[in-house]
Amino acid sequence: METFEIKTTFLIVGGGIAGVSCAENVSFMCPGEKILLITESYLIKAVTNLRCLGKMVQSFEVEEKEVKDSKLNENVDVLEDSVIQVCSEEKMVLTKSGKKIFYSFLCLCTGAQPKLIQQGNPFIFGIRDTESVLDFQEKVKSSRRLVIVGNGGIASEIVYELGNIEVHWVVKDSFISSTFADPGAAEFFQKKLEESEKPGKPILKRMRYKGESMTSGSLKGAALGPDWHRKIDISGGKSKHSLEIHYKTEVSNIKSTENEEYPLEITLSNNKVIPCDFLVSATGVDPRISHIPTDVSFELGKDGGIKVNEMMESSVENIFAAGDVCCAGWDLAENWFQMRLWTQARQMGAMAGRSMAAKFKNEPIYQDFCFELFTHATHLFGYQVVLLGNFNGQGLGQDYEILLRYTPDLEYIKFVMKDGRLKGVILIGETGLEETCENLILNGLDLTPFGDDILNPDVDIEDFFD
Amino acid sequence: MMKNKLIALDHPSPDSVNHNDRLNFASTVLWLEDQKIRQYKIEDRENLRQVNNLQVWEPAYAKYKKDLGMRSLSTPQAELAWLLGYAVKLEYCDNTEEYNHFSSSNLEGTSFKPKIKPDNFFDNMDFQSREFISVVSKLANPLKVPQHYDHLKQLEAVHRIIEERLSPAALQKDIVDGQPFPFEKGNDVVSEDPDLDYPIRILRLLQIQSLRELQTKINETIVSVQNLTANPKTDTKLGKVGF
Amino acid sequence: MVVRTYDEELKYIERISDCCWRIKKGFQPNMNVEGCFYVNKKLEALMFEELRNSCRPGQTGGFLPGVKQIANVAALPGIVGKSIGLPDIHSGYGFAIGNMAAFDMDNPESVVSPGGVGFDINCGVRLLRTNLFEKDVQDVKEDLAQSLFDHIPVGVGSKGIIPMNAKDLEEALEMGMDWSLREGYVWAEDKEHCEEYGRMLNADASKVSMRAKKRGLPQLGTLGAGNHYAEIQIVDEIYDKRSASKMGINETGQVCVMIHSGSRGLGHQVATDALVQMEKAMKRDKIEVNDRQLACARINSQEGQDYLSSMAAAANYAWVNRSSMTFLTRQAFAKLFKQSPDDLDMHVIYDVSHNIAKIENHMVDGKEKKLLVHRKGSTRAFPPHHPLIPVDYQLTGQPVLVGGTMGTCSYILTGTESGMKETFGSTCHGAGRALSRAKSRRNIDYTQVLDKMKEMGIAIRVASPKLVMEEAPESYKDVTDVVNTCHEAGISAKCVKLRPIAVIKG
Repeated sequence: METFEIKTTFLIVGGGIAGVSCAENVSFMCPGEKILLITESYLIKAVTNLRCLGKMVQSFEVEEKEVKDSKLNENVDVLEDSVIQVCSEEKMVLTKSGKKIFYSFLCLCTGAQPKLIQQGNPFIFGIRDTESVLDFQEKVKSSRRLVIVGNGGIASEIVYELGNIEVHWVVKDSFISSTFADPGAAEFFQKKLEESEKPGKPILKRMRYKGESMTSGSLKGAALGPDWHRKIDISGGKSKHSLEIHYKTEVSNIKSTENEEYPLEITLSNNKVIPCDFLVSATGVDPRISHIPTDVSFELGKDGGIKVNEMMESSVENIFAAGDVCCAGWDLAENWFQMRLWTQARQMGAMAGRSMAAKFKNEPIYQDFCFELFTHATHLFGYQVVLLGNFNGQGLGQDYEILLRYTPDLEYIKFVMKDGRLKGVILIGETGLEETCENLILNGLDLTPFGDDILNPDVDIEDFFD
Repeated sequence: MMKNKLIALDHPSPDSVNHNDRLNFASTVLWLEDQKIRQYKIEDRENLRQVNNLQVWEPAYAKYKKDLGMRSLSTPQAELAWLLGYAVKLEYCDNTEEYNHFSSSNLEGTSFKPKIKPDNFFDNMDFQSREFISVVSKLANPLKVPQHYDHLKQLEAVHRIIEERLSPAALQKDIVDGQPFPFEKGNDVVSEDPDLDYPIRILRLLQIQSLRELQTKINETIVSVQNLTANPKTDTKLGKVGF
Repeated sequence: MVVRTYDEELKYIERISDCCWRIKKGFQPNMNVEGCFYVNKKLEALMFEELRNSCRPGQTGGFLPGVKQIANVAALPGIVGKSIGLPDIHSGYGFAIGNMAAFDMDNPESVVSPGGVGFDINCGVRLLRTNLFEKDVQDVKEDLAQSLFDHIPVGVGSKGIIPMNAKDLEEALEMGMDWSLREGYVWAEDKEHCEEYGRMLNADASKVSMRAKKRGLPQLGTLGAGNHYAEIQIVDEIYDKRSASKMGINETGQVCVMIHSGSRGLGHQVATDALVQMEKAMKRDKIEVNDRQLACARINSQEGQDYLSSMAAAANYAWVNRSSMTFLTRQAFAKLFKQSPDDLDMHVIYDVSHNIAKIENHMVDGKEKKLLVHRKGSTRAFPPHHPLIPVDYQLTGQPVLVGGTMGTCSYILTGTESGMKETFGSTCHGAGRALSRAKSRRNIDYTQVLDKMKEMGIAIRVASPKLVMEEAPESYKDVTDVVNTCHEAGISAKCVKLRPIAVIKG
């Protein structure tokens, strides 16, 4: 293998949304400098269709682009390779293909990997990256019954999108979609799940790609984007569609069987046994740092991610981290918390990019205002879902109030109020209240005088606070 | 400016000073030293006095510049300007109290015109002569400028018409076609008195016209400043932004 | 506060003319001047319906009807003339949106109130003309909308197309549109056709809190949600040919672009910061008001002056914001039509502010007075020959841009003499209340949802419509009714009607 050296000002590792967003920002701030992005996959993510719902809430779609025609700026080179060693003393990384890359600033955006219930079982899937979705799609086609474990966004999306297959959904809570919703919102969604008819999907134009590195079940590629499922048809062909939700249960045992009708036998904590074709594990992610050996070890956060300060700097000099791999180690704002989501990967990537550029140019910058307020926009069960602030009363203990507005099939609005102030919001459906709610939380205005009328459908609060 | 300074210093023939003529230049320098600057004692000015013998004068002048602390300047014009400025400064320092009286606030109202006699053809003209008045009147007739007791005002009107309608620039402008809008029927209330309404409207239009000229000049100034300050990254012609 | 029946309340309201009503003193406590409001037949019904509903038992004090809000403003110290409600008035924080009020600068008791300006400081409308016609854009309007959408940035951080760092922001806050000019984003002529020439000279960036600056930094050149939009519009009807031609609008079918945006998060923070400061100042100076939302401070107090300086800075930010979008709009058009913006004649017709407070001279009882004029949801509309309007509009009166609710028609009006006398040169702002969502809400069964939520052990309240559905008024105020009322009342004159063909929303 040929060894050669590369010198670059900025080196970004990871072709996921955090990495690309970081590269874009550095390139924008320092158009004359050399920027190198290392990605393990042929494809990198690019944010498209960015829509601003509020000042800060955004929904966007993610498109995968082949490295060579990605819209990244001219001064960004993309290298398909993987990092095997970081030498922070020499400000250099070694890659699998034997390259030595010297950097001035390094940003690690290596993402996270799914926590699998059981490793190494071919009948257990973790859905995380694009390759695994394609695999999953294939698998569903030839299956009759599957079990889904997990109560987050991906699990909810899969359950909603699946067709013509018997689905068993195992959730540890007493309601569905607990990561993003509360029991009331789950009730709101429930109706949608019961519907059998779903609107047709747009034709997905996927680029064709070949290559040996596309191994199935690979954990290396970048994570999926929001709304990934909306364009991919995941229907089985072998069975009538049915859905059973197993509340407050967990998987207690998994047994691979031979010569049985179904290859897998799942035992739940309530002793129920479900034989099935395969199991989908969608129970969250862990930061992916273990596979990058460094000469100096990083200080890690509570969840095992690389601890970063408000400028996305790690404990090792000139090394930054962004996205799922890092752990927010600064004093968090009252209405913000970390959650490994697309939205935050993008925001952190951008912050890291600007922070590196500012350090390079020796300019002062502020931490981006997006870290003042938790925001996330997604689609669940065919509805737009917007989460703001401490939307489930996070960090407020039991000392808060909820104000609801609810119209079946139309909207579900929840205000989390404490001491007359708005602390968090869930908006489901086309409510048009995103920016108003953002402002109300950030302004911290006392809303006591308005009482329940703040959500009175006859009052347009978005105009009132103009 | 140079001439103003010469006048201020009471130079006997400010109009005849010519920095390109070395002899004239040398004489002016000598005059300045003799009358105003007095850097050297009289006996030490001997070499500077040799204006007719430049071979002696030039080295003396070089030394003189050095002694005065003049920085190196590229043209005799610049050197002369410096010397004049220096002389004015010395004059002022000798008599600050007297000159301070001439601040702009004290000068208001007094007409302060330097007595210059430029060799402009018009300067020697008698504008009050009968002949002049009759020519203005003749000029006004074909241009339909009404008669006015002050023929100079009349001339101003003639000038305006010629500049705006008959100058080469004006002739090149596209002719506005269509019906002129009767300006006496605007949205604006002008005067209850119908006799006053029309003339007031005319005056207002004239006022608007001169405001427009002022605003255009302001805009031109902004544009010329923009040429220096505009962010070079901005290229409005490309129609391409962002990534 | 006295509780009165609807019929008792009506005794305080009296018709002055076809479309103007007087609110007499005593309608609300301590009124220093009378109130008045402008409505036509249709809007009148809405206005009174709103009052009637508020007279029902069990109404909380959070959302007051417009007439009550006008009267509460009339009770503020130092107010002169009348507290005036424009036809598109609707409930707002403190002042109703569509309320203007002027305070005597020479009266030491006079106040300034952030609620009289609004949260989105210097929210306003800018109109660009083009020399294109509907037929030129008909086939490409989708592309054009997409192109505008691509150019007008949305998003956090420096993803904005116009890079801005902390130092730029400080300068922009002080310089307003002059910053955009200096950096080369806009044309010299744009400044001329902008209220205040796009710069409030009393702006002081040091009075803007760090949090406000941080909130504003990522949002420059972005549109904002809610009412904010950019629209490609077609000239639909010309009412006043002469004035329209002064604006460069000569024929129906001509294409214009309207940008409606403000100071966004920065303005919100400036307003919120001021409200907190003023509550303290009110206690100190013993200022009594009818409604807590009307927090205010004496104009000459430190708080009052600080607010005016920071509000001016936020106003400047809003102009830079609209200027940035002007730049991007020109780029988008230039790109699509492969002509320079200059060749497309993309001039700014005018730029109005409808959430702002300004010091102006007006005639009060035959004497010229220096006033602090609060316009919230109200547009300045100065008559012909006023010295503060651009030279190009000296004969027509100031253009007033009235944006409809997104997707409906918009109008250009012009300022009039009678408006100057009656309303301190103010008129409507348009973009009235958005069409309220599905009015036909069924009886909603909450029990299932509530049962589920109970397990969380949190107090839960449920908001529901208070009105019996059959009586619920259509709260939407049609922009055409609003504009016609202003025209009939003579406080501004109709000039041009525009209809949208493409909308870009943040």
